[in-house]
Amino acid sequence: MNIHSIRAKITAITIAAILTTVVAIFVAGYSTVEVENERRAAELMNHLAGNTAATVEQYLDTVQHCVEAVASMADKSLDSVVLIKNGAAGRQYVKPVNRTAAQNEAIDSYLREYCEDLQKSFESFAGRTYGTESYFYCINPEISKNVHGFYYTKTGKTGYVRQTPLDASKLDPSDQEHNAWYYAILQKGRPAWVGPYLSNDKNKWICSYVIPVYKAGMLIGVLGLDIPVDVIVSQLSDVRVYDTGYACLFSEDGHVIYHPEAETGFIPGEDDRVISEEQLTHDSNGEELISYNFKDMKYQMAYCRLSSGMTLIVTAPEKEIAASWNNLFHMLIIITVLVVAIFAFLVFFAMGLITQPLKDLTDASTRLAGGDYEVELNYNKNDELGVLTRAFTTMRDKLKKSIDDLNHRLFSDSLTDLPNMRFFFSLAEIEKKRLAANGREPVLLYIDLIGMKHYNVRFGFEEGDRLLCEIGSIIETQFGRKCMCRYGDDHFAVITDADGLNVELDLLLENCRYANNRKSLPVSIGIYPYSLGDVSVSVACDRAKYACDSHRGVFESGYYKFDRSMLRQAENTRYIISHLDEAIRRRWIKVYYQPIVSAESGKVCDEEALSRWIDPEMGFMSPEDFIPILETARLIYKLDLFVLDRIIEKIRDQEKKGIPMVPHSLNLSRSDFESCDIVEEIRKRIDKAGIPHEMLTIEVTESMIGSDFDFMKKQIERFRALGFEVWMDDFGSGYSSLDVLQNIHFDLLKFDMSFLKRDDGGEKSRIILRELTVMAHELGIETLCEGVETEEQADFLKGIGCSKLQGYLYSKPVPYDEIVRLFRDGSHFGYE
Amino acid sequence: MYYYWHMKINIPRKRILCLMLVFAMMPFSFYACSSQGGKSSDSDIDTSGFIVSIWDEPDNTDFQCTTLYYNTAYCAFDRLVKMERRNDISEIKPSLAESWDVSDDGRSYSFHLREGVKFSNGSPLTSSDVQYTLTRLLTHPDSTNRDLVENIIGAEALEEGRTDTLEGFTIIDDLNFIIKLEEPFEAFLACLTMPGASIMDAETTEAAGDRFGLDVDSMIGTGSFILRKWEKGKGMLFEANPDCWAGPPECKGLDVRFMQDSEEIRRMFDTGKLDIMDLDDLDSTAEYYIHGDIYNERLYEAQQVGINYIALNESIKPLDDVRVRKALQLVLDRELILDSVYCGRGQIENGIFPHGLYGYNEKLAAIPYDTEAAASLLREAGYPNGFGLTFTVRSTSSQSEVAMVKMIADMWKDIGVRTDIEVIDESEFMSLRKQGKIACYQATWIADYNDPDNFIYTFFGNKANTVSRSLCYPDEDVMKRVRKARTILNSEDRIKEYRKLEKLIVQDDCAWVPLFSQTRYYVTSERLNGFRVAWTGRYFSNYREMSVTDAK
Repeated sequence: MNIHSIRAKITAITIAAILTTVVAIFVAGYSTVEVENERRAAELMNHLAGNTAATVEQYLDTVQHCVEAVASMADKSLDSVVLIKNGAAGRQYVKPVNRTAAQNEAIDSYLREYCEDLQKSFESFAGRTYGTESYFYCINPEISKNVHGFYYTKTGKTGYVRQTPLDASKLDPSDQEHNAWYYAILQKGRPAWVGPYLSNDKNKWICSYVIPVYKAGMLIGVLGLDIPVDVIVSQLSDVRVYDTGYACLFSEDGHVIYHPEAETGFIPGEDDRVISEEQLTHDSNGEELISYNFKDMKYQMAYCRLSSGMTLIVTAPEKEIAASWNNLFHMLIIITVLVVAIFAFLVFFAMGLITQPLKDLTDASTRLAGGDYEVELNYNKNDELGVLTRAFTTMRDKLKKSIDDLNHRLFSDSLTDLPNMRFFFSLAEIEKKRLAANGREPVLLYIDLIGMKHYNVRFGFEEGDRLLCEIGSIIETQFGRKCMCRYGDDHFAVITDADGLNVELDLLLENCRYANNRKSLPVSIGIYPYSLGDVSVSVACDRAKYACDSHRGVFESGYYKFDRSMLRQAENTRYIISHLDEAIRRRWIKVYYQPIVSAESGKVCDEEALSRWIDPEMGFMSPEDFIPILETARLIYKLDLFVLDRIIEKIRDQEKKGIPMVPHSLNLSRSDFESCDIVEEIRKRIDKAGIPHEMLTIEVTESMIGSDFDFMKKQIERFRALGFEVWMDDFGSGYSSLDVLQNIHFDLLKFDMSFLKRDDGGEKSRIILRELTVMAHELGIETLCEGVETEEQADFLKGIGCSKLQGYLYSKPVPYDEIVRLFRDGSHFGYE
Repeated sequence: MYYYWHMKINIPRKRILCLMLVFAMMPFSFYACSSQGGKSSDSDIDTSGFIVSIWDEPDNTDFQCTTLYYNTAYCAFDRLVKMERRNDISEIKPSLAESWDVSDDGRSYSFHLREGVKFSNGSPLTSSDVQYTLTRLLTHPDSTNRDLVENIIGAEALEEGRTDTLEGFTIIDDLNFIIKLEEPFEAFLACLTMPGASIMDAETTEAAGDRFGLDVDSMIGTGSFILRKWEKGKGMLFEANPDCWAGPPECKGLDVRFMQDSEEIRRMFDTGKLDIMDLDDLDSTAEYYIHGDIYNERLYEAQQVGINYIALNESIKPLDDVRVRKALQLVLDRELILDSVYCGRGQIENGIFPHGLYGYNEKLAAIPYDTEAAASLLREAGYPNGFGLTFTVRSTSSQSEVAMVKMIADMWKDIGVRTDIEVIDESEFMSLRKQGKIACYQATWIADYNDPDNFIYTFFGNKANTVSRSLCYPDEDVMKRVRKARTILNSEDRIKEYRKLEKLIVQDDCAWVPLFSQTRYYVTSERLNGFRVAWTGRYFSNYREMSVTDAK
């Protein structure tokens, strides 16, 4: 994890938290403030509408009260009895034209007086009512056709001047505009505001409050008071709603009484309508404002129905209503941005302070991971990071120590503290390149202490170790630590310049001689000059060792150069080992059979299977060329089993062909026993082929038994127990020990005729042979001599009692085909 | 500072997030808190969907003890039977009693109660509730409606405390009972349609004792509405009875207001806050609703089955003289009064039984307007210069009534009668009248049940009745005939007898001055549906058919 990411994450989380909070506050604020703003706007507008309406209404009320008071008087002061008795009302009503003159006269005179009294009262009431333009009482022509009532108009300062009373019978019912005050009221049957309408005489807009006066169920007349619209307008025109909003007033029938943008008396058409009639059906808009569009602008309005039936509207553009809210909204956004920015900075900064040691720690870890143990951390506060840092430092120190230790162990020898073989490979590579680069010839030395085992036995391991340390020290001193190593056990390796090598080596041998207070060992040194081939250090070491080992058995100090023949041998070895499988598969290895002849009968009594490697590349190879190599490589079992398989094939073929058979002897090597359970393996194959066990004889050499006597004794006994004869090959060629014969029972001892060739004349050998034969005979062991080449030799052997003979005298090893041919020819000398 | 920043790291990351969330949530929770508590939980009755109308406020709603206020009885209670009038024919229809059988002799009534009827407290209606109701009606010391059931066998004995049980009432089982009458009485069923005969729940009424009619909780009936609230001087609230046996009423309830100021009433109506306005409650402004075309469709005109009369107390001189009373009859130009005061909206009446009442006699001779005759009669009686008379007016009288009284006084003045118009408090008026101490007053009697008996018996049925109306009619024989007429089984004969008695009492004995029967007018609000005036000319019994289309 990147340290920045923690910082960024915490910063981001904090910002997110702030944003969440701000958004939450914002949303809450938004809804609250918006609702609040709407509520307040509605409250304000409603209040304004209500107030304005109240003001207007208050004024209209004074007018109404005035007219109502007069109407009440008109009602009370009128004696219905007079009317009823004179046929002007009641169930005995008659039209004026049908009444008697006396009746009409009575009514008219009564009405005149009645009107005169009423007019006086009306004048005093009207005088106390602000704005009165005129007042009137128009008597119903059905009551009287002569008395029309009264009509007074304000003129100048003189007060109310009598006008000709309006004769209702002469009013044109179709002229609603001017005569609404009469007909509309008759239609309504109840008091109402009429107008605005243009007065007849003056070019003036007026509104009238008119009350019908009834008595005894009869309309007596209409009573009214006119006021100029201007008086109402003056109460509205000053009303300001927000910036450009305004108040306007409509009459009950939808005429404009006041509108800043329309004429008084104007009737808005359908096109002028901005809100539906349904929206205006209530007494007011209630708690919410009504929104509408007008000329692509959004408006909100409140309205209030006056008791007069008029509608007062207060309207303002939505923009202005929401202005305060919008300001708040903008402020909030600015504050939000600022807060977030400041906090982002602060948190990022603070997180930087907090995470710095963590960052250092992370860097240190990264460097540590890269192998840099020198990282320094100096954060030492007493918090988690401090503890972590100190723990890290401790861990780093321990790790460093461990790795140093491990490296040391890995690359140096624990005893001598010198570089070990592994380390030397890389050191030598470097040195080799360095020398080559300087035009020098590098050589690799393999140094071997001779007789270290005996030394240890003799002086003890402690002393041996001390010697090794000293020798190592000497080598180190002479060639430098970076050019040498303890290769293993008592071996050392050195890479050095070929130039002046002999001098150096002489000096080395000299120094070694005096090592460990002269309690030293001779030193054998193998030299591999790289001029022989630029091989890897390990190969160079092998070759130097090869050179060294080539003089094994020399118990004297010396140095030996690896040469081309050694190289060849080495290559040969490599070739044999790597091509064994192929040679077997492709039958480059062939099995030859050399007959063994019975000394008594002169006929073949056994055949020894011998392998020959006829390589397409290397040519004919004798067993001496490849068997030791295969033995060393422990691959000989493959060859031996291959030979066994051929023997089995041969026997079965002979069986098939009817060729008489004798036992076949098979040579085994020591390593056969180590590679597998050879006893069991042979038994299995022989049994599988259904061949009697006496048809196979096992040949082992004396040297094979040497090192692990008991093991070999057991194996030989197993063979013999299974019915296989076991012969000792090459008896007397090595360090034959009579001890072996004493402990292991062999069926036959095999000598080599070369035994006889050692000395001129070979008298001693003859004696030994004779005695051996006698001894074997007495031990119940047969004897066989191989390498018999002459009749003379054969006679001698027969003479001393050797029972079986083998050699060129009789036949060289031949392939099976040859045997078959010989037998067919009849030239075979016959089987026993 | 640095140190503290470091310390903060100690808080686990999760907890920081939690804290942040808490902070983030704070405005919400705060907002949530602040938005609460707007509406207070008011246990007041939600009156939306209620019909708003105006009543006179009763002192007591115990319908057995009043002759004035039956509205509560109409709304919250039912009777055994009900009166319905279609096309001028009145019929007795089943109500709580699903059916009934009348014995051939007309004296035995077997009632079969409707099954499943429940009082508003949930208890079922049984025969014993009926028995209790009738027993209470007869035994309650303040009962004013005993005459409805007086002719049940044993009623008198029960009334006088000689027995505890009503002998003529036999319970068969929970739903069936028999009522036996002393004598056959054709109007018996009509009497049972009277609000005074509304059936009470025995248990709760008994438990309420004197509080019945005063406590809202005591008014347990089977009616369409349940009285929920009675705020003195302001009004009453009735809720619709959802479990009413006749089905729930159309509206959700009744919002009744007690108001007198005509101006206030008119304003209330004009602003749509009143659903039914009785134009009688207004002064001359009532004309505004009759003329013009605004209220055409909401104006209801009804002939009130009731009579406007002037009572003359025969126990007070000189009203004991029939000539004086006759003179007072003749000197009144009743047409002029009707035309002038009531705009001619009504019918001149000349007897006891008004237009529209079962048994109305259209052939009854008109009482003429004859000042001369009146004056001579007065001279004959020994009052050539007239006499002084106190005309008592209730304080609750309407302007029209007052105007009318003034006109009457003016007319009487023509023959020298000096009328002193005295306005007294309603309760005092009632008290004085009951004692037979008011000399002269004007009043209206509106039919409770559609039978002449409802009129003639109430005023002239017995001494108590006639005294309690301050008529103090002295002719016991006539009154006996009135009582006797009740038992006439043949309808025609009975009506004939009533007509004879009517002429005898009003035109011969001039026991009162009949004036006229009024045409009544009601206007209703735009939102009111189903308004219908009952046969009486009143609407209180028809509330269950009305409803309001509430704009809310």
